[in-house]
Amino acid sequence: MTDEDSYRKLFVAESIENHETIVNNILVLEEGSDDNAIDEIFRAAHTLKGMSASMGYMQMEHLCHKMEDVFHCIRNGEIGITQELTDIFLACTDRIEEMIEDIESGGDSSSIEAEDLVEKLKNYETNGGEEETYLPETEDTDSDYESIISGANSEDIRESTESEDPSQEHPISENPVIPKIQKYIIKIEIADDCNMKDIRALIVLQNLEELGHIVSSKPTSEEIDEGIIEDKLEIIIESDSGEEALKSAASITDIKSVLIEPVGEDITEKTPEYRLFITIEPECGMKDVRAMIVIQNLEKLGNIISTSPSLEEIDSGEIKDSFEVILSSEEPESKIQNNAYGTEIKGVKIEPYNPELPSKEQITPEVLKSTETTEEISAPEPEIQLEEFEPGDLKKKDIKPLDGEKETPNRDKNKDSSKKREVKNLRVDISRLDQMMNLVEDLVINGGRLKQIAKEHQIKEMDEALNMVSRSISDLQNLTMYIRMIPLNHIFNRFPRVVRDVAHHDGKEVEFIMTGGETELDRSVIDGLGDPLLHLIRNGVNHGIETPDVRIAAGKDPKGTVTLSAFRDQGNVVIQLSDDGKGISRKTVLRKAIEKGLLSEDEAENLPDEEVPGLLFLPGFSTAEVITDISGRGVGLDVVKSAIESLKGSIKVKSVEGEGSTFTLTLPPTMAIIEVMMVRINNRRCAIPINAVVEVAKINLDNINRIGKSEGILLRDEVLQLHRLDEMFGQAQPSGIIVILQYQGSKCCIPVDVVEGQQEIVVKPVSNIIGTCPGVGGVTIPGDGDVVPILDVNTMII
Amino acid sequence: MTAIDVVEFEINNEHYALDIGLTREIVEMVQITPVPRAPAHIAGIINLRGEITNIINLNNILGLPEKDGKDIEEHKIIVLVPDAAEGSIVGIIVDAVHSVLQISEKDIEQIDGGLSNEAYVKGIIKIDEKDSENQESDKGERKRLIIWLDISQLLQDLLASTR
Repeated sequence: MTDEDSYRKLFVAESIENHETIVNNILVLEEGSDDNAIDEIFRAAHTLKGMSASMGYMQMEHLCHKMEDVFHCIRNGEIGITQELTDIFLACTDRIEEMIEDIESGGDSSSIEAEDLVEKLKNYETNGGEEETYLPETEDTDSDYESIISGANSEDIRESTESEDPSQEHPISENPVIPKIQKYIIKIEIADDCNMKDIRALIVLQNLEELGHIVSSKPTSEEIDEGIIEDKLEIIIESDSGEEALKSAASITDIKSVLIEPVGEDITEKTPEYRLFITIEPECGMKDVRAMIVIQNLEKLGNIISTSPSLEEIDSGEIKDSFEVILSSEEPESKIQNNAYGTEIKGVKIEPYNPELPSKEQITPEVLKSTETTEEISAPEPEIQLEEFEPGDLKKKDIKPLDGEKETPNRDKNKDSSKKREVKNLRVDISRLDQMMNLVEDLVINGGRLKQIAKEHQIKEMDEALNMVSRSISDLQNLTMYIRMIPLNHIFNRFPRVVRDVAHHDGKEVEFIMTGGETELDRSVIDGLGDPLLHLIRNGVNHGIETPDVRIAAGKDPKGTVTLSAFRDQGNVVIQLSDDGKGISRKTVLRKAIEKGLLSEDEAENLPDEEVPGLLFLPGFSTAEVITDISGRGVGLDVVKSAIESLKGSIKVKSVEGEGSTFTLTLPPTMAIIEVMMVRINNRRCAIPINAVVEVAKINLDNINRIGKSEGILLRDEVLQLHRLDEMFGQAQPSGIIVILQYQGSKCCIPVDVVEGQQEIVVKPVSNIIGTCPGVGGVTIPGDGDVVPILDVNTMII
Repeated sequence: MTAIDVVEFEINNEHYALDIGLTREIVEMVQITPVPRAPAHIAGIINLRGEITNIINLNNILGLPEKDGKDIEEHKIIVLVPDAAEGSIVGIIVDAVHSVLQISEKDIEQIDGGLSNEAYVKGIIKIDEKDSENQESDKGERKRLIIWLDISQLLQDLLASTR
């Protein structure tokens, strides 16, 4: 994969995330102003803008920029949110989506014009801007929040006013409240695992450039351009935007920490300094290494101003039995002394030290480290800390050196904190996960084999060691399985937009409620579920919910409600979509069915009420009088049904005329781990899902009675039908053991040879080369490597 | 002249071949777990390094007599590449696997009509018998026939039949 490709992929993945944020928050805004939502949109639009600019997708950058401007006006209360405006915004997001798609498929999105939307936004912005005084800075007198906002975006205001209406420039430039230009040092750490540090750094530089004048940066932008960058970046900037704005501009993806400090007050001066004399055991064979370790440990506590011999000299091995370190640190002496001790260190002498401070040291990487640690400790310092520097992390860092983990490389120390900040979106090919899963299972199986060997040869130590291994393996197995699970929100997230669009199109008012989006399903199921659900939801709004006047006439709230809920029920995931609309009309459905020749009039007459909704799933059925482009081309529900069935799920409808209808989708998570009971029938193993098992009983074979063609037994005053699965497995041994199952709402029992026990297994689907076998819900490979079919209780009897 | 690599195998003392590009590996016979109510041409499933591998009974499809149980341990399973069956891993049971042959086009006799459709024959490969014992008798004139099976077509048909 070329660099270009990987950048593009990264860009697309992140843009989709940002795009989703924008859309969802626009919908939130539509419900009423929400500062959080505006903030979120702002952040997302800003990131999108920055990223698209750095990738050279100018159309997108332009559009995002304009959206940002308009949102700025909204945030300042200059423009109210109107229906029309949200429509424009949504149109913008659609355009952005198109662009992202184009980019994903290898284009550069330049073919997609956005000028029309930009024009519209511009109109809004200028209209809104003229109605009220354009003095955002004066508004920030009472609220911190506002000051952050206007600080962060004064650049945008300036840009927008410059480009459109030069007369509006004055309020800004003459505004007395504008913060004075201040010099800052910004220290940025890029996450260790970021693989495009140079790009990230350039984006940061670019973002900051918009806010002020970059005096210098280390490494310089030229160096970064050539890829010369470690995980640290230091920038000196002159800006009037305030620390908050700079911080937010610098905090982009993969940036671990941002530290801003105004230049002028010299913090390092406050820090006490110590001189350490460290002696190494004379017989130590690696004095240079020991010394380096000590220095490294000290570095964690503060800033090493100088060493004697110098670092370079130590590195090249020029060191005697002792060396000297001058360190500036806020840590107590005892701690420093502790840290300096290590293996083969004979003694450490520490004393305060007071020279003039060489000013150039301020921008060396060592200073960065020292200020980081020192400032965490001194709370009243004026610096801004990102939230990740919490006391917990601080403690960890402090403890580490004392733990004796002297050799831990320096960069490890921030690993924990970096995790918290990153919203990582790993895109992995599903086949790789499958491969991984297979390998893990292989491991399980071979582990079992090894255990057996260990037992045969009675090697206790090996057995114990293998126990440890198998514990790790089972953790690994569970982890792999859960990696494949993703929350339903993945597809749920786009539905509010769909509901809104359909409702607006039809002139209906709909409240959409979603619950249970966190329910997890296997990825492959989620993928197959998106379209059928989308169709059902459109259908519900389009056909189910009535227009407001009809609803009022029927004595209902003019605003209809559509509820989408998901939950786990036994081993399955149930998704319910209900609306309080007009329900399914028996008369209309039957008339249509007769018209289409699906039913004869007599049949229709005698059809029980509960079977009426089922007709909707017949191919070629659509009750909508007018075919809209939103739903209903007569290919609707039967397609939904077959899609759900191909996921091995089922769909049911319940409806009360005039009160609404409920669609219930029941989905077995294909790759799910389920608890099964292992039995043997005719000495062949079979797994029965535990949620179908009521109990296991031992009966006297003489008590089996013939009831007509079938057999039954009496168990505790209950007559249970006995089903022999001879045709599936062959005749079970007459052991008298029966498993009582929940079968289609009632109980029944099957005879088995023996019950082997209960365990968790991974359900694998039956391959499509075999096709559907009634009664077989899937297959599984339990720990011992055998292959076992899983009984599907509801279809086992044919 | 194009040369084609095929794997030669044996079922019921007949020699067959399939494209080497379709084969992934050859494994020893293992215990096959039957799938209840599966079609007759499905022998069952096995666990091949954690992957469910579907075993096809070629005898059933080709209308050959069923295996008689003896020498069953000598049998082999030719595992095909997953692409051959839309991602499913499929193996076929054979009595023995002989060798990889490089055959040239001129040695292949195309067969049209009923035989090829029904029995999935892609062609008949005629090669000179190399065995030294036969050398004397027929002066290398003796040829043996290998039936070149159209396995991908066979799998396509199986997949289509389950839809």
